[in-house]
Amino acid sequence: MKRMSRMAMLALAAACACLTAAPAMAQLPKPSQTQSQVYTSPFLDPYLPASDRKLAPIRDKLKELHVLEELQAFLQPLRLPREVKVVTDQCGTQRRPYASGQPITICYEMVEQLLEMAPKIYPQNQQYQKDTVVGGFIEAALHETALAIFDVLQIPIWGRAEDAADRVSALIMVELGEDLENAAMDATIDLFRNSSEKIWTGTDFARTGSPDAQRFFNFVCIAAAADPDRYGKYLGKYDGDKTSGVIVPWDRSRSCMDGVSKYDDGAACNDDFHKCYKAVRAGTEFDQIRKAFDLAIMPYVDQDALIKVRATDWLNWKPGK
Amino acid sequence: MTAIARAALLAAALACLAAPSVAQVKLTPGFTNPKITFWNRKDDGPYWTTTDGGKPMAASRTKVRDGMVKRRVLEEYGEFLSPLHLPRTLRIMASDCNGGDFDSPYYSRTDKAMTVCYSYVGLTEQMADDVTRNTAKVKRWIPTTREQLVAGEFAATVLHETGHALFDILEIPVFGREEDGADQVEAYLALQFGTDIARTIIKADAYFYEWTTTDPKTFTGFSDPHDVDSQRMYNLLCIGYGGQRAAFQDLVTSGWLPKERADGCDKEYAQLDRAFQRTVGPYIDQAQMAKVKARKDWFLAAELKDK
Repeated sequence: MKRMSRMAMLALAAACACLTAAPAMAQLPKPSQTQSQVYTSPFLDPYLPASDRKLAPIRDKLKELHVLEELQAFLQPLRLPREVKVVTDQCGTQRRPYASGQPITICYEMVEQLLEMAPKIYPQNQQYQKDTVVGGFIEAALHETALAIFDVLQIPIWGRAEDAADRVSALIMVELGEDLENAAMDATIDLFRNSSEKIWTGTDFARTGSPDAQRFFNFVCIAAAADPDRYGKYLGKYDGDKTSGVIVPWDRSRSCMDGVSKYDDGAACNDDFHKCYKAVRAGTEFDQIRKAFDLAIMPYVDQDALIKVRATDWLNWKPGK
Repeated sequence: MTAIARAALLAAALACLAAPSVAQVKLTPGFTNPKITFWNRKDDGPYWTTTDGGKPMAASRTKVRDGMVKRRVLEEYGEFLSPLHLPRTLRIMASDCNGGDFDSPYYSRTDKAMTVCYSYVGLTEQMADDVTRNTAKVKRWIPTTREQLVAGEFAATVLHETGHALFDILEIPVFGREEDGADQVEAYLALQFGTDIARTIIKADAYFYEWTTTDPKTFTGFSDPHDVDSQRMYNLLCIGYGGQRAAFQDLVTSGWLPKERADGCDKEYAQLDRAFQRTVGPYIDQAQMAKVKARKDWFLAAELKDK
């Protein structure tokens, strides 16, 4: 896992780096000419108080790191028809899902959970522990931001909205450069892989979200198609592949890497599709979410502002720079 | 030519001789669409007597195929889709697919074709027998009949694949998991043609998942791009209840759809309705859709009865 020096990476979020112009989608609201976007209130402290004594230090640390200001700065290229406020708060639970008209909320309890999980995943490596917390924070922030974007842009969602938010998060992670990809995707994969969530049974399946195991495979699938050199190690190359590190069964691996049936007949690809991944990207889950993003969200990204975002050294970002 | 190859050819020839010829499908006047076509193969028409790869179909499929030909299943499906303005042609066919006993219908992006597999129909009949015999394998939450289950499950599966076809041909942005989206298309379409049809399709598919489900016991059991069968079942029930609350009230009162999920189903349906109206709606000829809705022969009367 590549080391991260600070939480700064968080905000790269919804300002996806796909630079190709996308066709406008019919009937979407017109992009605003104003600078309205995800913002922190200039009048109220967006780091809402934590009455729980365990959570207060987390709140103070997030404020000290200016994570929300950085999120706002990174999301600057977004041109939304109305503003969306972002805050941190004590939620009473690990998550307060985004609701229309309400702020994007990052819960202190979620950060607390990350701080508890990280040492269990990497008991011997404090730097990796820190990276896991940072990456997990980024994933959570991206997820809620994606839900807000869906709402504000009135984007039609096929499938579960929570899965859609995961897929947009995964896309942003792999499209904004290696630093964010390494930090956020690695941590996300580690966190879901080591989830303490019990295996669902019976009416658990009536829940509206997805089990962590399912979310894990969704993230890996997109990551592997986007960066096979780094994440292809998780994919089985043949039925029953027991190679060390392989977690994704062959059937799903093929689905991740080869969404176009005509490539099924290619012996070379079946032997080792890593050799021909560039040829088979079209039709993959990664390709599908990228096309959806380009079509429905990219028209609301200011390209000049995006270039500035990409040109900024976010690892050393400070307020006012 | 080897003996095996000769035998295969002979078998194929015999299969062709035995099968009814349907080279020219005839559609009901007023329900045609030039972008909905049939993938004909020689004398078979769109009801192939082979696998997709050209091998002779298994003899056990003959009865199913004959039934489909007689019922004009593919023709009716094409007529049902007649209101769609598609930018590219969709082809429809039936075959023995891969020659397996449980081949599932599928949509091919490469061929822009939807294929119904004969063996799947056989599987559906097996499910219907198990459910209606009240075996321990599946709980009978609410009443149903064998006819309702067979017809409803067939329609459900075809509508699911229609979802994939629409996503592909209309180039619809799919932000969630496509398989879930295809399930949503299926349920949404099922709800647009009256209470009886909605109940037949949604109940049948939900019972199918109740019948097939084996909850994963391991982490990798969740790796499939489809939801787990139980998830698919609850999703369908929820959309049904969210879209036609009164018609599906028995899902909740029977305990099949847990109240905790049921409470949010109207919102889930609203999300689905928005997605459909925004992304598929503009491609529907409303006048033709009115004709399709007015037609009452999509199912037989017996297939729409709960008891």
